[in-house]
Amino acid sequence: MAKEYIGEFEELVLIMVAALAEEAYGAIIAEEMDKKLNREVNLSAVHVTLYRLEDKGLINSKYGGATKERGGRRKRIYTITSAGMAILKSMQESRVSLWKLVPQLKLSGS
Amino acid sequence: MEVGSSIEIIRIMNQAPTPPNWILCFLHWFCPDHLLEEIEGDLVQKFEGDVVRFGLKKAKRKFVCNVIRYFRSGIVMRNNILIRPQAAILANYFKTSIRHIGKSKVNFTFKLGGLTLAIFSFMATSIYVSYQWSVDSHHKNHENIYRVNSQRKENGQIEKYAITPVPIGEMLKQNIPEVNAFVRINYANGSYLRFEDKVVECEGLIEADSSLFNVLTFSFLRGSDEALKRPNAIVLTETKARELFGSIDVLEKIVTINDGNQSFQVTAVIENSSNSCFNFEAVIVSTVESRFSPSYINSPVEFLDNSPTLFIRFNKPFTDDLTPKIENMLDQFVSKKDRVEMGFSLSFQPITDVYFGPHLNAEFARKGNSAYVYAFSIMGILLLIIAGINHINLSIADFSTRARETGVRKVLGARRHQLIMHVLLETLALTTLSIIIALLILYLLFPQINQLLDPNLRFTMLANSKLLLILFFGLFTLTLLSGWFPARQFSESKIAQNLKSNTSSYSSGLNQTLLLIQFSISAICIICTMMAGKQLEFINKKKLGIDRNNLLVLSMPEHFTPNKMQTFKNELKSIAGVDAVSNSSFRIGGGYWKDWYFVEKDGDMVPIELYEVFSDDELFKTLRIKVLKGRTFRADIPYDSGAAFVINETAARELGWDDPIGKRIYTHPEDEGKWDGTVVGLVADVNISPLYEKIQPLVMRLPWQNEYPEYFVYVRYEGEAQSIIKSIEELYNETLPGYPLAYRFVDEFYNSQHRKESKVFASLQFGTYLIALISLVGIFSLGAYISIRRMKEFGIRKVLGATMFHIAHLHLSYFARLLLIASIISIPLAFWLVRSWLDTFAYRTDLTMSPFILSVGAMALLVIVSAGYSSWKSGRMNPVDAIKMG
Repeated sequence: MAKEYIGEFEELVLIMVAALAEEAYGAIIAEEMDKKLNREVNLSAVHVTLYRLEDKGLINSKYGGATKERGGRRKRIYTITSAGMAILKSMQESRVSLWKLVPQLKLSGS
Repeated sequence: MEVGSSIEIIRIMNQAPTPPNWILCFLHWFCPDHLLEEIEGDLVQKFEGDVVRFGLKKAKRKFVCNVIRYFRSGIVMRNNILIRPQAAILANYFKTSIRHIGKSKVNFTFKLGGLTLAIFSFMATSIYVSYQWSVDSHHKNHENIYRVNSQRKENGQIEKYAITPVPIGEMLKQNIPEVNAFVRINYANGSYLRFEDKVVECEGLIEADSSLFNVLTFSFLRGSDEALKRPNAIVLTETKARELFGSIDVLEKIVTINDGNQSFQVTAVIENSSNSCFNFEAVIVSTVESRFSPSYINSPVEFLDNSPTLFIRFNKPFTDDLTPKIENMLDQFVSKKDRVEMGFSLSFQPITDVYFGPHLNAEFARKGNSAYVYAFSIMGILLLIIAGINHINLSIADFSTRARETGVRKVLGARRHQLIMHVLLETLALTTLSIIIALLILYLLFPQINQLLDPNLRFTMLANSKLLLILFFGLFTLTLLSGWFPARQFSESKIAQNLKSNTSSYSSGLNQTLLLIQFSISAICIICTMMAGKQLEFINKKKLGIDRNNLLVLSMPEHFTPNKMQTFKNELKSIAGVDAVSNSSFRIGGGYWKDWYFVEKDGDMVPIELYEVFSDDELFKTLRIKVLKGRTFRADIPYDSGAAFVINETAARELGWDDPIGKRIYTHPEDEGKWDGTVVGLVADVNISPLYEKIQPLVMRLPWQNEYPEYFVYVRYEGEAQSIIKSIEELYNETLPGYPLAYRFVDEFYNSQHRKESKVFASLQFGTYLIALISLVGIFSLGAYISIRRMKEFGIRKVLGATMFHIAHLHLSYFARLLLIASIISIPLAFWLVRSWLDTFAYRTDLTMSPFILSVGAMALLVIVSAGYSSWKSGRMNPVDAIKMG
């Protein structure tokens, strides 16, 4: 586990950034979370989380090109940094290792 | 037409729906610039999606919600980065301000001192005023509680009473469903409480229905609001309990009243009700019940005898639709015709209005003086306005001397809002500092304020949410106003001008207007205070009709036989130093019994209601009441008892008798001539009661031979009071063992009636002086400022041959013109104010011109002195220096 700890929502947003690769920006992340996880999230929560992740150095951002649909406003595209990738991986591993401790009987029984 | 509408359609189709503009402005306001584009973009994208999904209306609503959700610390706090570079500017503001204060210490002291004084006075008055207004608002649902007042026709005039006949309460409760509860209260005067062998005097003993605590709210220290539901229960206030028992853990103790025939059990101890119009020291349950009879209304004696104070709790505030119901109810008992003839009707006065309401007949409630409370509120606000104006004027003058600083700031790229911010911040800092100092002074001086205004005020009352809101609002406005004007002047002036001259030009129109307001307010305040002082002096100097010095009044308990009284009187007279003794029902502070009398008028006997006093033959000698005509009673004429009447001046005036001696007068014709005789004497009015009360028409007569006139024994003494009182006390204890002697010095009583008034007045006077002082400071420093500004002009004038007189004339005429206009505005206003205030008095001084002339004259003198000083200073300067400077 890395020194820095990130919360559940932060982790989700971070995964989304990683998954969407070069296409990750605020509105799409919220939309995708809504679609894929069936979880309605507020845009402002996503943005605040993105800024926090950026402060922690887990993601980078740059402005994308302007499109017509947003009234000409540019998107800010987020990309995951290697530190972000590392933290995601370590969290995933620790979760898997914890998961292994759960008695398998129950799993097969369900 | 056709073309227009198609263009319209195309326009709508082409233009994508846009989110509401105002909310975007809100977003722009709080969102950090570097995040704005992204956030806005994402929001708009979501909005566009929502329009397709939910329709325009809902999408707009959602958009607003979403934007508002961005107003959170995670976004807003990211603005910090922008503020950080400002810290240096702030430090610079602070430094220059401190330096400037160091350079202009006098100006700063005036500014701070004036503001602190004003804030201090404003806080003190707010505490006083809010306390006065909160009287009786502690009762639960106080908006539903009413006192029932009644009125009846007396001698052709409608008289209002604060009491109602006994059965009315029950009648209301039974016939009007909106009435939840009622309580009737009777005041029993001059009683004693006994516990074992301890006796204490209890002036505030009341008899009330057991529903007292259902209608009115009290806080219980011991016991509960069920306390009066038990027979023979007595409820004591904390003070009385401590006086009698030395503690408040006194439940179940047995107390007796007066001679000890009846015993009562203490069932509760309540807090002293200091903030109520309705004061008492002990309550017992009254058991009087009677059926309604018209004589309760048309006989003055029965009306006064059988009428308690009645409080009613409705289930909602009283509205006019209840009036017909109450009229119908009264119709069942007295026909409408009779009621109109007797002038009888009921009225409902909210309990919170009683304290400031007019003084009714038979009113026992503690009364406040709304005129003073209004005066205080107005004074508090005026003080703040004056201080604000002063502050504005001084700040403008002050900042003008800093024109060069402004110029440099502007050259270095200070933006307008930054300059305004600088001024506002400085003002804010100054206000905060004055608030802190004012609070400190208030805390330290609070004992004095208690003594001066009201002993029940507490410093902690300042922590009242409403009061704080008013205070905050007042100070906020003050800061904004006194900061705004200089800030505008400061920021709008031209850079080059700023840099070239030491002082910047400023709109003297604004200064003139402000000065005008200040002059007018000061003039009005001075005139009003002078007139009020004149009126109070007039009242204090008014003839009392008695000699109040060296006079004692003893309140006698009941159960005193006439024989015993005669012996007691004789023995009193034998005490060395006692000159005269009299026994009568003459109440020194007013409040007499009233009865029907038949008097001779143009040959007919006319019925009239008069106040009556029973007295022995020595009353006039003892009190030194002046006999104007005829004679007083004579003990050696047995016929006098019943047939001799003495009236006072007011009675003679009201009856229209030029020469009252020998006029026939009788009362109680059913006693067949027992009280039938003539007026034998006319005496001067006695006027010792509070300022607002009229002197009542009095008729005095001897008590019937074997009857005891009761109540009061007056003792006129000479020499050392203490030893005489001691002898009286010994005698009293011999005659009536077990009763403590209740006595009072008449001049002390008189002073206590007027002390409060004069103290409150002194505080008002102090406030006025403060207003005048602050204005004076303003005039003085503005005069100095203007003379500095015109220094160069004066120098040139001097070079061209102007004398110092010319310059002084020039300078003074500026102020004189303002003073003239201010007088024209303020004199009629003050005249109107003073006249309406004087109308509240029964006896008033004449409205003369002298205070008006005096106040204007005084202000003119002050202006001449303060402005003259500065013009003298500038006129004396070497003109070369003046022309060379800046």
